[in-house]
Parts: sequence; structure tokens; C-alpha cells
Amino acid sequence: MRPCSTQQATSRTPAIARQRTDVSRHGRALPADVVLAYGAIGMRPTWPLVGRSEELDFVEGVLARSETRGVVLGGAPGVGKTRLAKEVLSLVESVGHGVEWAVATRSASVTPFGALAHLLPQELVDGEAAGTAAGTVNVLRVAAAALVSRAGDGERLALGVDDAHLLDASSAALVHQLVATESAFVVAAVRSGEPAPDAVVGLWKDGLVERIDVQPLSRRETDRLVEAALGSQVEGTTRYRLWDATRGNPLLIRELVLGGLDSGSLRATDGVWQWNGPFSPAPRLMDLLEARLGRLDGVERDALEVVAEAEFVSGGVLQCLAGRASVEALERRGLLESWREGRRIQVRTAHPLYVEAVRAKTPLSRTRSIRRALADAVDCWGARRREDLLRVATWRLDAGGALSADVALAAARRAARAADYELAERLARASLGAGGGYEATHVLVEALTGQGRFSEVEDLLRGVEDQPQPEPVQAMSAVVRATNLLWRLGDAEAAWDVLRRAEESVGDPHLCDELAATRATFLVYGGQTKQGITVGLDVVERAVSDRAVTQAVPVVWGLLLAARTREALAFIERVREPVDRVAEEFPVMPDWLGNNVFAARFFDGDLEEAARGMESRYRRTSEQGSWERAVARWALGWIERTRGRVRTARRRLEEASLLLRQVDMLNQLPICLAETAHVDALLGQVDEAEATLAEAQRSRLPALRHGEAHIGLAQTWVAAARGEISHAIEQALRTAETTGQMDQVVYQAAALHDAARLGAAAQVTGELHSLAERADGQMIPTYAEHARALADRDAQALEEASRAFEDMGALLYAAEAAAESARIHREHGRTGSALTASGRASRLADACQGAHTPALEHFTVPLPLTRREREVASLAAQGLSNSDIADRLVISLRTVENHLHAVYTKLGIAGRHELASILAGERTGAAT
Amino acid sequence: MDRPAAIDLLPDTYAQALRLQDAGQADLIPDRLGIAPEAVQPLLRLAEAKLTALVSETAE
Repeated sequence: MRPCSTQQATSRTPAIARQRTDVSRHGRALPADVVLAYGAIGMRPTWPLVGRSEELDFVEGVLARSETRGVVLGGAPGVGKTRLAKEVLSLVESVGHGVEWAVATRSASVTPFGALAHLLPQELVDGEAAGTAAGTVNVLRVAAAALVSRAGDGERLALGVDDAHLLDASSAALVHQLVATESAFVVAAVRSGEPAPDAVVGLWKDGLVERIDVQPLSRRETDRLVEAALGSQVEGTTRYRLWDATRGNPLLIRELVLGGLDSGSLRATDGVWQWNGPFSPAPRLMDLLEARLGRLDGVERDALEVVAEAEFVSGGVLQCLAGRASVEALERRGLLESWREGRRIQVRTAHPLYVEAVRAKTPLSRTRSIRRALADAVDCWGARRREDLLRVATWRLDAGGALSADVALAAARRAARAADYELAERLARASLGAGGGYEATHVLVEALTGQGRFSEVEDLLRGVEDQPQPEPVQAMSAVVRATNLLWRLGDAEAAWDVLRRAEESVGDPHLCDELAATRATFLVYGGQTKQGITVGLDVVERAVSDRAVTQAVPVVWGLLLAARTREALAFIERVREPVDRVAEEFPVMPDWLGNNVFAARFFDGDLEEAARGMESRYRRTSEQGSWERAVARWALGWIERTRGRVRTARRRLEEASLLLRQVDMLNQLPICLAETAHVDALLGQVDEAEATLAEAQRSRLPALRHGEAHIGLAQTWVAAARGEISHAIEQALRTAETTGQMDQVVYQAAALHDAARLGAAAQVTGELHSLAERADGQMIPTYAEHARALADRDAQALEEASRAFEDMGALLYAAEAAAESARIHREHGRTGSALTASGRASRLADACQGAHTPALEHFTVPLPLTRREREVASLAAQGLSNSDIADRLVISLRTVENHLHAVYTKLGIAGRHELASILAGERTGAAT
Repeated sequence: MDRPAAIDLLPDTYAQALRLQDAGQADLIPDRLGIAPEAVQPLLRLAEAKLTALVSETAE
């Protein structure tokens, strides 16, 4: 970080004032303390001050007190004390202080006035009198006067001191004197946990200044800092990993990010940053970490190497391997920390990055030896934590040791649950090598699938099918192979063939139920919704096997698509317990059920609850595999698009696309891209929308028909964005027809509603009402009412539809309905009602982050007022009384009353309480 | 978001300080957290301010 000179601090003062009031860029509100420095991708990031609003507010409060003399900022290295001190000096300078800056160093600490030498007259620093007691007092007096005089006329001195704990005794005494005599305002930064001169400690102990201990950034503040520095969105797991590794220490964050940029591990794809691979500290960061670790004797380093390798280890095991004395010494030095977990004490490095720093310097042979020792020690102590099984197996494997087939298999399963697919693959292969059977193959398949290696899965399973197997293996293998063929390789014919052969050859009724459940899923996602639902419900009704019931879970999506939400929720309750019982074997199913609960809320029309639920699910997935995160993200993108929050939707979809391009287990990328194209069309970015739509079509597996609707809907709005309204309507009607044939009622209704919004309301209102009669929830009935109101040109009904959409959180639809209502009122000469509706439409459209549709064009109504009437109305709308208005405009009270009377009459309103919304509706052009 | 859930999202020292305060054990803060006694009140005020900011940000 470049040092901030006094001049830079000065020039930053107006920026601080600006950033505290800056609220809106790129169409959304920003936290007040984030100054976005959009370094272009490929340029070095700039590092704004983030997460320090509260500290600066606190200091402003301190400054406002007349008796205040200064602040001391304590904290750990790298937490941002110096940066904050300089921001404080900027504030101080802005209220009329002259600023000087000094940095104490260890080397200058042996020289009297060493840290302040550059601010004092040479003869004072060189003078022999500095050595005697009486001379020292006199020297301090003269030095204080010399320093104070550096401030301009009429200005009080503000002295900043960095690393004040390293001040030489004379400088420390001088600083104390300046504060005690109120000759200067002092801002000092001190490192926590380090000894400091008595005179410095006395500053806060004697109550002369406030002491603030600066803390690391929170996880959210860290996210904001990184995104502000990189200038665009950062993918969720990368954000989590950066925070986890640095624990919010700004210096470490910066060094890690810079190292990642230099090595290429941190790079942006389509505007989303992602870190690929492990964290390997760059040389600069290693230097910082090594400095923190300090000098270690051989025994201490050995102990630290054990902890670094284990990441965390029980106190008992550690003392067994490293000895009590060295462990205690490392804890005293703040390099290790311990905490209680039940009856055990766990130990880890005091900072996550110490692990990387120590490992980087540990020779490979030593690493292997540590892993072997850890495995033996944990086994000896009794591996009790759930993670111990996986840790011990991994250590043994890495150390070149042997694992039994069962142990390797159990560990492989754990690794797969944790979405560590590379490790799961290694362990599964180790199990197979030790004689493991199909179960190990099954985990290997899961691991390869998680890495996107679908062709290898097919090769593996084809080999299994070629050999005689017991029926359970036959059935399971057929299900997994057919799923891979259909969902990932797009070979529907081969998938159905595998399934059919298995159903013909397997006789066990429970296994037949499992195969039927898979068939039901294939039917639903292949566009035969009704048939798939029938087969799936039948399985759930008759099956006694939890496995079969669980494998029928995807059928709930069919129920939701058919707008049978109540049945879907009942289905979810029915299967919840069986799914929980086999969660170990089918770990994605509990989440799948949960996602469908939120989907039910979405289709019912409770958009805010759906968004809240998916957002909460996304936050839990940051530590899981990327596929789960991608699903949560694109679902959120879809919900936000429907809410009308198009830029928020864009961000969610960008991250989802990035992850799905890496691994796409269920062909979700086309849906995500179609939604992105839809959003781009709403934002008027036609070229981008067309390119993304083309990619969506290329990436779709034709046998899977769940993405077709999204592509069709996006095509409608891309055509509309090009101004080809007739073509857009045709596309919407085609989509409605196609989805109707598949009994995908929610998509069919959405497409018909789109056609109504584009001007074909009369054509579709009958069909929408038929769908509404059999659909659960509020969304489709409100579509139908909107369409009827448009067809009948009923302004009142349009206002009701607008309110209904707004209650659901569908703000874009609400804005469009209000806009059309305004147009109709205006056509009928109902100016007051038109203005009210127009004001409502403006407010709603403003919340849609720049979305633009044909329905939002030209709904604004010009006010039929004179210039003076407009002026009086505006002041009245702001809450001024008539007498205040008279004073403000220098006119009589009677004139104000006359103007207001004319305003009410012309606008057709009863009083000033309606003025605000009407004036809000007076905007030129379309909504932006 | 309730207070305990919001506190969990704060940096460790703020979170621990608020939990001790809420439990009526603010006098333990200097020893437990290694903070100078004179820095405790500013720490608690900043922690509350951070908590308020976090909750209102989440509500948006």
C-alpha cells in the first residue's frame, strides 16, 4: 500500500464527505463508506476504505467534544490502524488543524527524538542538553513549542504517530506533554500486545485520549472490499475462502489477492472473479507471515509443523507428538490458539494463513512423516470426531500407507459428502485397489460426476453392466448409468434403453419401484409431465422402500410445473421422513426437497419469501460444492427477474453461469443463460441478450425439456427489445402452445401473460382464465385478471391488478399495470386519477433497477399547472405550511391559498396530502 | 434477523464482547479479550454500531 502523504490526506477530505452521501451508482444503493474504485480487469486493484464508517463516526464524536485531545488506535498487525489514522487526520484537518505525521521504528527507538527528528530543529535533536534531567525538561518545552509552531496561524497542531509503541523515550515524553498541555491533537497507532513506553500507555490510562481497538473486517465487509478492489463480482466460494484465510485482516486480504492476480489463480471470466486451486502465499505475503511467526527454535517449529499439517488437532494428540513445553510456548507467543469442544481441547494455528506459510517451508519427507504420525496418534487416542475418519485415511494415503477397502470406502463417502471430489476419487480408487466392490465404484462414479467427467462415468458403468451382478447392483448401476446418459451426455435413446432393460431383468419389487421412480423423473423432465406425475405418485403410494420413495422426489417438480402447488407441498411432507432416513446415501435429496418448498412459494406468488429462502440456502452452500451453489444462484436470479430487480438478477445469474460452465450435472446452464438473456433484454442490451440466447440454445440437451420454456420466454423479450412486437407476441404464443402440450401450466401461463403485456390481451384472456381456475396460488389468477383488465381497458381493474402484483413482490408487472391504468385514465380525461396512477407506476418502475418494457413507455402525464402553481405545489408537497411558502416565495398568504386552490382544481385532488405522489409521477420520457 | 444471529456475523472480538455484555459480564472483557480496560467502552459502542449497520443492511 502506498504511504498516504499529508497532501493525499488533505485531498481525500472532500472525498470522505462525498462518500458519506453517495448513494447510487449502477442503479443500486451502495453502502455509504464504499468508494468504488473500478479498476478495469487486468489493472492493479485500488483499495478503498471499507468497513470503517462506524470508527470514523466514533472519532467525529470525539472531535466534537471540546475537551478532546486525541485518539489512540490499537490493533493487530495489518488490521488497518495506519490507514484509519490517516483518515482520522483528514477529518481533523478538515476542521482546522495543521497536520504532521511521524513513524516510529525500532532502529530510531534508541535515538532521543529519533521518530520526530524530521519535525524538530536540528540543534534541538543534536543538543547536549538533551542528555540531562534539567536539560531534558527544557528541551521538551522547546521541542513542544517548535512542533506546535509548525501548524499555521490560528491552527491547532494535529500530530499523527504510527507505531507509537516503538517511540524513543524522548519522543514519547514529548507526545505525552503535547497532549497533557492540550497543545496538540494526537492520533497514534499502537500494536496490541506489544510493550509501549510508559508515556504512551499513560495517554489512555490517564484518560487523556480515547483508545479504540481496531478489529478485522467482518465477512460481509471483506466481501465488499474484495469486490470493490477487483471492480466486479466475486464468486461465492472464493469470497468465503478469502475471508476464511485472512479472517478479515485487510493487509492479508490485499496481499493474498495481489498474489492470486500475479499467479493467475485469481482471474475473471465474464466479469466474475474466481480463485482456482489452493492458496499458495506469494513471496511478499510469505515475508509478512514469516515476520509474524518470528524466530522459532527447532522444537517449536516441529510443533507448528504438526499443527499446520493437521489444521486442527486435539491437545492430547499434539502434546503426544510435540511435547507440552513447545505447545505452551507457541500459545504464549500467540501463534497457536485452543478452544474447548465438549470434553476435548482442540488446537490450531492462531491464523489460517500460518498453515500455508509453515507448510510451504516443510520438506516433503517431513510432511509424510508428520502425516503418518498424526494418523497413528489419532487412531491411538480414539478417532471420535466425524471428520477423524476422513482425516486419518487421507493422512495414511498421503503418507504412502495402506488402507483397508472398508476404511477407504467410508472415507471416500465422507469426502464426496463434503464435495471434495478429487479426494473422494483417490479414496474410492484406493478402496477398489484393496478389493472394494461395487459400492466403491458407486462412490467413484459420484466423484467423477462431481468433476464433470461424464464420459469416464459411462465407460466405468458400461464395464459394470457387462459383468454378472446381483440385482441390487444391477438396478443401482442402471439408474446411475441412465441418469448420466440422459442428463449429462444427452443420449436419451441409450438412457431409456438402459432403463428398459433393467426393468425387464430385475424381479425384486422394491428394486422395480426404484426403477419406476427413475422412469417417472425422466418423464417429467422429458416433457411428459402428467404421465411422470402419475407414475411417481403411484411409486410413493405403494412403495415401502425409502430408497424408492426418495428417488421419486424429482417428481415434485412436475407437480409444481402443473401449478398443483398444494399437492406438491403435501408430497414433500409425505416423503420428508423417508428422505431423511436415507440421506446418507442420497445426500442431495433433502436439499432438493427444501428447494422445492421455496419453488412452491415462488409459483404461488410469495416472491419475497421465495427469495429469502433461496438466499439463506445459498449462504449455506458457500462451503459446499459448486453445483449446489450454482443451483441456488440461478434460482435466485429467476426469482429476482420475476420481482423486477433485474440488475440483482443479473449478478446472481452471472455467478451461476460461471459455476455451471465448470460442472453442470443436470443441464441447468441453458436455463441460467436463458434467464440472463431475458434480463439483458429487459435492460435493453439486445446484442448481449442475443449472444447469450444463442449459447443457451447450443448448450441445451434436446431430450431434456425443462429449459425450453425459459428459452422461449427469453426469445419473446429479446424480440420485444428489438422493437419487433408482433414477432414477440408470436413467440410468446408459440411458447404457450409448446408448454401447454407438456402440461407445464406455470410456463404456459407466464407465456400467455407475456403476450397480454405486449398487446394481445384479448386473444389470451380466455385461456388464462381457464388455467387460473385449476391453478393453485395467486400468480396465475392475477395474470388472468391483468389480461382481462387490459383487454377490457378497465383502468380500475388495472389498478387492482397492480396492487395485487405489488403485494406479491412482482414490481415490474405492477408498474406495467399502473402505467396502462394511467394511459386509460388520461384518455378519458380523468387527469387526477391519471396522475395518481402515473405516480404509482413511476415509483414501481424506479424499483426495477432500469428494466424497460413497451408497457412502460410514455405513461407520464404533464402537469397542467403554471410555473408559479408548480412552485407552490412543490413546496406544499415537501411539507411546508402556507405561511412558510409565503415567506419563501415572498408573496402574500392569500396568494398562496389562491394558487393551491387552483392546483387542487386542475389536478382533481382534495388536498396537499395527494401532491407528493402526483409530483413524483411527473417525469419526462419513459421510466428509466 | 435476531440479535444473537446478527452478533454471530460480527468479527470475533466484537461478538464476544457483546455476548459478555448481554450476559451481564462486561467486567470480564479486558481479561477474556486482552483489551485495555479503557478501550472497553469504545469497543462496546463500536460493536453496537456495527451490529445496527449489519441488521439494517440485511433488512435491505
